[in-house]
Amino acid sequence: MSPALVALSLIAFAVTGAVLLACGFALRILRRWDLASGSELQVRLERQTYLISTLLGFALGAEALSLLLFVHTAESLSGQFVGAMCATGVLNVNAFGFPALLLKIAVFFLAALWLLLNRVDNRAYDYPLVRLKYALLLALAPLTAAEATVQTLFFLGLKPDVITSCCGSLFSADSRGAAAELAGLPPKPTLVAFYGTGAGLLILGLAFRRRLQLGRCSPPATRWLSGSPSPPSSPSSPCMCMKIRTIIARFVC
Amino acid sequence: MKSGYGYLGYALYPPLFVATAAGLGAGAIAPLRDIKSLQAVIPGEIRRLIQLWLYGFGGFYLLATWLMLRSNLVLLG
Repeated sequence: MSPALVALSLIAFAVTGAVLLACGFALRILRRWDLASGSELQVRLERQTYLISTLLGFALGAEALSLLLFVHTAESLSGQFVGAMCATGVLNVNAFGFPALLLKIAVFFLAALWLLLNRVDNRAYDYPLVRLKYALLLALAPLTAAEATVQTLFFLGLKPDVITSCCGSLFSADSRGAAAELAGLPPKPTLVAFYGTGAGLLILGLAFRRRLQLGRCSPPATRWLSGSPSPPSSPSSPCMCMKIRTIIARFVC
Repeated sequence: MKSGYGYLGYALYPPLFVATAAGLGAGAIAPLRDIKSLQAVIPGEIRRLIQLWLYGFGGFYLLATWLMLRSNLVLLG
């Protein structure tokens, strides 16, 4: 067993243990939390929430990083399986590879959301999100447990004598499945869709920002978009740059 | 993600995932800005997340474009 597999297993079980431990506390928070109360229980809950939040912060941060380690490990194991040339081939060795990856991605986004809620909650004076973040933790717990289980099944099912299929066959236009369908799309419309999606996301995000009236565009990129002073020094043609800025600024600010 | 490709895959995915998480986070906390004790916190957080989202997606699209331009692939179809 490679050290990376051991590290990934340890992270998965440590995170699952920490989350399950915190779930008991989450249930107490959901039932008994009352900031207006000065009872001994409330004071204890307020103290414990610091400890649990810190513990979960480290655990979920490690879980987010383990996604990258998982992909790197799958990639590095590709030389040990016949037919595998990359991570795709290794994930195809048994039926648990891709479910493990998808679960890790889902946990990554939920963990990121939990860490964000925790950060926002800690900056307010009355912990307004404490119930919400611990309710989210209860939703996260089964996913982390499932991820640890599926990942373990994947590692235990890595038999070197299995002949696997790699990206060449999975993403071939002649194959079946969503990946093959996407790979079989004609290049030019796909390119248009790729950049169209990027432009759509940019417009949506900036419209969202504008709708929330978050004030003046302060970071360099958005400051440039808004046309305020101190633009970046790169444009070769100031007049064209001003025109482009004016057009985009009409959309944005 | 292979050494033959300069491990560029590792530079491609983190900005995409960070930007997606930032975008999801901004959308998730936006409805919370009406809570009184968060009124001073949420706008700054959303601004920071949108900044992160812009840089993340910008980095992803720039890198993807550069990879397409430097590749020897021919666009057919």
